[in-house]
Formats: sequence, C-alpha cells, structure tokens
Amino acid sequence: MNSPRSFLRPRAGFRHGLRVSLAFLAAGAALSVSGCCSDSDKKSLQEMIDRANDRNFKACDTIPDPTLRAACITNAQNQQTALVTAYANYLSACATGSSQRIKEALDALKELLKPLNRPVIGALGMVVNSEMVLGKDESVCFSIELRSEGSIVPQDYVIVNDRKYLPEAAGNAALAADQDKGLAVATAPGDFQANGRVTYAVVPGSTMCLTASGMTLTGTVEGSLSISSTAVDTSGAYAPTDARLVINLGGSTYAMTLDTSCMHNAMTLDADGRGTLAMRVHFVSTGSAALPARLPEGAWMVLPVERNASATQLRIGNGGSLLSGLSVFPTLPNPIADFDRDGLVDDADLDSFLRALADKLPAADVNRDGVADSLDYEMFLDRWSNWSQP
Amino acid sequence: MSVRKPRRFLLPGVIVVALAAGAMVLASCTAGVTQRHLAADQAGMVEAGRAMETAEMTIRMHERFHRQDPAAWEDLVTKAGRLSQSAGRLVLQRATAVSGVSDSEAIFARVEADTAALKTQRESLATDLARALSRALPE
Repeated sequence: MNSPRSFLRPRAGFRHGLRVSLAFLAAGAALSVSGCCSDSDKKSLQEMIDRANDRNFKACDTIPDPTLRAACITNAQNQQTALVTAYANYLSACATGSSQRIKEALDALKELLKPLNRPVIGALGMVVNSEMVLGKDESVCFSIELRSEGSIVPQDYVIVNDRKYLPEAAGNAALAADQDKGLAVATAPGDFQANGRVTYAVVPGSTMCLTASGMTLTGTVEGSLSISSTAVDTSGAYAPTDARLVINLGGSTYAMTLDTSCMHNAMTLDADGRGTLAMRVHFVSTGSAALPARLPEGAWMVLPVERNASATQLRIGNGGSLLSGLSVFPTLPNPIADFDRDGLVDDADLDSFLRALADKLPAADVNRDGVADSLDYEMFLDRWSNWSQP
Repeated sequence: MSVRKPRRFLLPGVIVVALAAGAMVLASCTAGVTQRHLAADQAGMVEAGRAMETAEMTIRMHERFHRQDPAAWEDLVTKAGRLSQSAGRLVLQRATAVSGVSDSEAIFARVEADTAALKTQRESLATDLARALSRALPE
C-alpha cells in the first residue's frame, strides 16, 4: 500500500483524518482524500452525533439539583441543535460536491464533537454538568499510599554491596553485583528473592486530585498495586504487574486498570528507594456519573514514587503529573502510535494499524470503546502524527 | 467561575437547515424516494418541531414551578430531555435519508413508526405537564 504519510504528516486531526479514515472504512485499503460523502461517511457521522447527544443527555440524569439539571438538559438540547445543524450543513456541502465546503463542514463538526468544557457549578463549587477530558497540557496529581499486603513480608532496605535496595528489588541487585564484581553481599533481615512480587493496598482515605481547565477536584482512591522483580533484568526497572484503583471523584466512580501488554511499564528506583512508576492505564466509568467529568480512556501515568521510612509503604505522588500528554514519556513512544510495539513510531505502525482497522481487529480499538471505527483512527492519527519521526 | 446562562435552544432552525439540506440533495439523487415518502417525511418534521416545543415549554415551566413539587417536576424535566433527544434523532435520521444514502428507502419506511412513537411520547409529556400546571400555584 502506498503510504498516505504525506497527507497525514501535519497535525491534521479531523480535517484530514476523518475524511481519510472514513474513506478507509468505506473502501478498505483504498485511500481517498477527495472529500467524499459516501454512505458510510454519513452513517459514521450520524452515529458519532447520536452518541454525543446520548452522552450529553445522560450526563444530566443524576444531577440532584433540579435547577442545574434543567440547565444541563437545556445545554444538551443546544448542543444537539448545533450538531444536527452542522450535520445538515455537511450534507448540503456533500450535495454541492465542493471539497472546500465539505472540509469546512467537517471542521465545524469536529469542533462540536469535542467534549465540552462548559461547567455548571453547584452550590459547593463542584462542577456538575461539564464534561472534561484531560488534554496534554492538563494534569492529574495523586497522593496515594500503598501498603504492602503481599505474600512477601516487606523488609527494610536490603544492602547489597553497600547500596540500599528494596527487598523485592534485591534479587536484581544481587545479580548485578555478582556480574560486576563477582560477589554479592546482602545484609538484610529476612528473605529476599528474584521474581518476587509485592502487592500494595491503597491506604483508605488516600486522595486523588484532578485539575482540568482550571478546575481542581479532589476524590478518594482505593485499590492495589502489584510490583514484581525479575531474575534477569539488571537495569533497576521493575515491572508493575497489576494495578487496580477505584477512584471516587465528585460523585463519579472510575476503575483504573493496568495495561499489562504495554512493554514500557516500569518502576525505576534508585538505591534510596526513590524513583518513578510509569505505566499505561485504562479508566472505565463504573458508576452513574453525577459529574460527567471523565478521565481519559487510556493514559500514560508517570508518577514519582518513594519508599517511606518504615519501608512498608510506597508513596506515590507529589504535585501534578501529566497524565495523558505526549511528553510524559519522553524517551519511549506512545503505545498507541507504536502500534507494532517495536519501540519506533514509523510508517510500519501506520500500515499495521490500517490493516487492523480494515479487518476490524480488536487491536485497532485503540480507544477501547469496544468497536474499531473512525474514532480509533482519529486517536491513532493524533498519536502517530505527534510521535513519528521526520 | 460563573455559571453560563444556557442559550435557548432553537430546533425550528435545525429543521429549516435540515430541510434546506434535503432540498439541495433532493434535486439530485433521492428525489424519487423522498417524494414517495413526502407525507411521512413532512409529518415527521412537524412532529419533531412539536416535540421540541413541548420539551422547551416543560423546561421553562420547570424553572418557575419546580419548588412547589420537586419530585413531579424532576420527572417532567427528565421526560422533556428524552423527548428532545428522540426528536433530534428523528431529524438526524431524516437528514441522512434525504441526502441519498443507499438505504434511504428503509429509513423512510421507519419514519412513520418513529413519528408515531414520538407523538405518543410528546402527548404523554403534554398530559403530565398540563396536570402539573393545573396544580401549580401562581408565583
């Protein structure tokens, strides 16, 4: 297949992206940038608008304050009006056959389909009707204490060749020391082992705060995080093997799970037990949200971590950490863009993704909404355009 | 941060635009299909307009009277939201059909049923609204 890269290279977003993606959906691998208005284009747009309307109206359902609820419904109606109007404009543009008009109509639709940040503030200052999606320049901060409850009894620092390590990391340290110096001296009470695994439970009352569009919300977090060490990895990076958090934020509940398929997940600690935990996670709303603010479906998290003085807790967070941005993982490619997981973002990823999308493979469902469609293409294109090397 | 006053929503405008879009397309590829279903199409658009009007009226009345009977008005305003969404969906489907998609015929075939369902939904809300208003005290 000829690479469409030259068309996609600019941060085109919807303008080129939707048109191209819909063409792909409609005609398999055939590439078209001629502003077509195929049946599947129209149906896809109609479906997207329908979904957006549904989301907007449903967001009002659980708002307890009657005045705010009515305002929310009116907002949803206004948004519906705008969407239907924009869609009608698009159909009109299709009828003219003018590529320019079609492009402009699609641009207008793109703007409307973006989640809104139009807050209605409740009596306590809480946002009750806006939908917020964290952008790349917005932040989330965590303040979570994880308490060990795993099969391995947590020990104090393990000293290997005069350097301190976490117990679960000491297996690696010993191997590293052995390779470097031919000996390993561990001085620590209790056992430690490679291939170890520790599960930390989130301390009840741990908090999470979310900042988006200038508004900060605070909620509670509960759940657990498992970290494993390996016998062969001597890099000092340890793998998060499981992470399950339930986040209660402003009346909404979100479940966060670790994307274990991401090869870039890692916890890296220095000898003093400080470092970062980086992982890709997915968020799913599990409650009827009174607050339709939502976390991104998938996100990089790079969180500062620190072992506390008692050595039984891992403390995560201190201020904001970029959650969904493109710069939070500066040395490794975004996993959506790096579709073939070879550590590079290049044309091969685009080709692989397009093939998967044409075949409707689950792997193409990069936004994890259960269906491989133009929304996935939009997301992929965004990540790929930002991460691919010139 | 201030609460933004919601715009009044303007469905008739939508219908006008949708009809205009339809008219532009009508001249080309779907004239036959649309003409065959012209009566149903027009009835659908009229019903959508009425539904939106009822929904908006309900919300306006809710603003004035919800304090008198919060539970009843909460139910009404929720129904108004659903009605509005149903009407919007009908307009959306109709716009797609008129634009000349291959299954226009099938979409139009559903229009009558969808219009009837929308009418039932609207009349139910209108009845409830009338009942609530009859109990409301002047403010």
